[in-house]
Amino acid sequence: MNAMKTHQPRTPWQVTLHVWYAMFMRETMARMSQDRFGPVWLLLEPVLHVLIMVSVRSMLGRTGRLIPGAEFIPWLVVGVVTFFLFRNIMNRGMAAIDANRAMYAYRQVHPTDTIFVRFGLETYLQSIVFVLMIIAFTFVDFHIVPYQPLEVIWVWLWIALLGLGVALVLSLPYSLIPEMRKIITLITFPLYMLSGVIFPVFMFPLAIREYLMYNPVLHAVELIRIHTFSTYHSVPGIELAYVQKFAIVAILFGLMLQIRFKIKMIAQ
Amino acid sequence: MSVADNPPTDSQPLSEEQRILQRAEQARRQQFKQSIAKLPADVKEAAYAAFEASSNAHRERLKDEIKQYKQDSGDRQSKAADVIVAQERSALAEQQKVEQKAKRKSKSAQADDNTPTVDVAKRRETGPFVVEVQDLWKRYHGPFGGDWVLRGLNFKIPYGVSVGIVGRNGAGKSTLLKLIAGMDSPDRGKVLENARISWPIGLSGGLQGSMTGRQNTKFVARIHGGGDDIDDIIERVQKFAEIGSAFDQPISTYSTGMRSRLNFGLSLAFDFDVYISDEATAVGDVTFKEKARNAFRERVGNASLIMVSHQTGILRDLCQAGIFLHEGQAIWYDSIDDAIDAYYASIGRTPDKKS
Repeated sequence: MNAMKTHQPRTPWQVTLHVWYAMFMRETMARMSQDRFGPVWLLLEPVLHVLIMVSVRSMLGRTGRLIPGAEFIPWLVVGVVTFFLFRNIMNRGMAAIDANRAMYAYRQVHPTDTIFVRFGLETYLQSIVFVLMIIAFTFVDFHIVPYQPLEVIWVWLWIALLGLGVALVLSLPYSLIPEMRKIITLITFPLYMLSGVIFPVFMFPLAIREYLMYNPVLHAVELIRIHTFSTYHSVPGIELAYVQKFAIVAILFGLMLQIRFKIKMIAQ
Repeated sequence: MSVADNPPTDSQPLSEEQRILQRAEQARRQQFKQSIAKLPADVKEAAYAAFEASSNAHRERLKDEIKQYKQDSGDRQSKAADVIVAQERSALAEQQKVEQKAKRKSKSAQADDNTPTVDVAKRRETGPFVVEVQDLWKRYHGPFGGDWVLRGLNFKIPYGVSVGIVGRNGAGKSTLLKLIAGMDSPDRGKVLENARISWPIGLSGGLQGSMTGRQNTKFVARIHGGGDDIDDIIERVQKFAEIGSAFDQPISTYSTGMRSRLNFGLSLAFDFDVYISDEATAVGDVTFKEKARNAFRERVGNASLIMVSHQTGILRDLCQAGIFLHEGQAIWYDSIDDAIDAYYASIGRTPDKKS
């Protein structure tokens, strides 16, 4: 029988790769067909956010130069897309363990696999979105093509890893303590406002900015802009090293938690 | 912990009176044991001595009562004897019915069933064992503490022996299956596995509701490293499940019967040494049960089944040995019939009523 082949002992790595492949296909299907918007929403959401912010601003009558060294709309688009990369990996990664509960019946599937797979899928999708955005906005004559593309890709990957780290850590309270979901939502809500996506970080008073600089997403968003617009200058103190350290620490801590509480998350 | 320790005593039929006395004695002893269970050890011993001393007198008194009952059954003078005799008579009748049925069953099994038989006792001595459970304790932690569900289980399941697990609701059957399947960890003790063990095939779990049967099958095949065989596996699952066009519909539209057909077919598409079934057969119709039976008949001696079911019929058909879960303990029986009998005896019924 052919099926005999399927049960030759596989190495742990092979098993993991098979699981990741299977889950990746499944997650992609689910993500693309979860509602009527499907993949359209991926592109539509950042565009709508930009549209709303721009219209709010023009209704306030502020049409003048706001961002020194960059046009407002490309500046906003880059920020929103970058932030969405982090937000989607964090939110969807955090919820992954709970959403795939039925799959833990198969002993090959570890809860952590679901987070890794969603991390991969979201990074993949958002990267496509970013490229499409650059192409689309270039066509309507905005200067949005990164002038340092390799640096942009490098920072982009670190933002994704930052999201992975946060998702690994937060998935634990999210799936083990139901009350924590509300608190996590509450805490992550102002992140959009405080990461310099919509409001430029230099507009905050220095006393507040000092504390905002603890937010690694702010660093990441500003870094992407710095490498995209040649004339853009951000506030002093923005550095990639902080994002990297934050991401590495979060990933390691998250993996530790995942190992410690694996059975608890399965058995729930 | 095996019935083999108690040699069968049906060498010569006892008279009705003797059997009644025996039963009454057993009942009284059990009651006594329960009543002194919480006393300290020295008091227990004294109580035991007193009990033994009084039991002879009690037996005599019972004999007298029975005699008297027989003499003047017209006007019943002794109510105690009346009740006892009536109860014991009905119990005896039921027991005889069971015995007859078992005899009939074994005869018919020998007659029209050429299934290769498995010598459980021998395999239990020689091994190899697929699952070894060592001093397994498990409790559930509720908001106000939790009771122990499993209190120190010890048993070994030999290779190729199908085991039925019986016990009342909440006895810990599904918990035990989860522990064997590695979906939960014990509070104390160990489960050692030495075989390819399937996921628990049940009414829930293992299938994603929003995906179609085909997608779920693909997923499971990929996880198990299906590779190029995926189409082959899908075909076989489809053939076993026989759910027609519903195979391409989301699982959430399935009935429970269709779900368990798919889940069972899915697990049979892979060559496991041990298949774990948690009531998966409960909702199946006749053809499904027949299929499951045939599938395991084909694999007798090679693959085995650990199944939980409340349907004694399918247990008897598919399993050789039995485990009776009772008050946190597991009692191993080399024959599934004995396990079922013990289970029914514990709830005061005879297995006749349901099958």
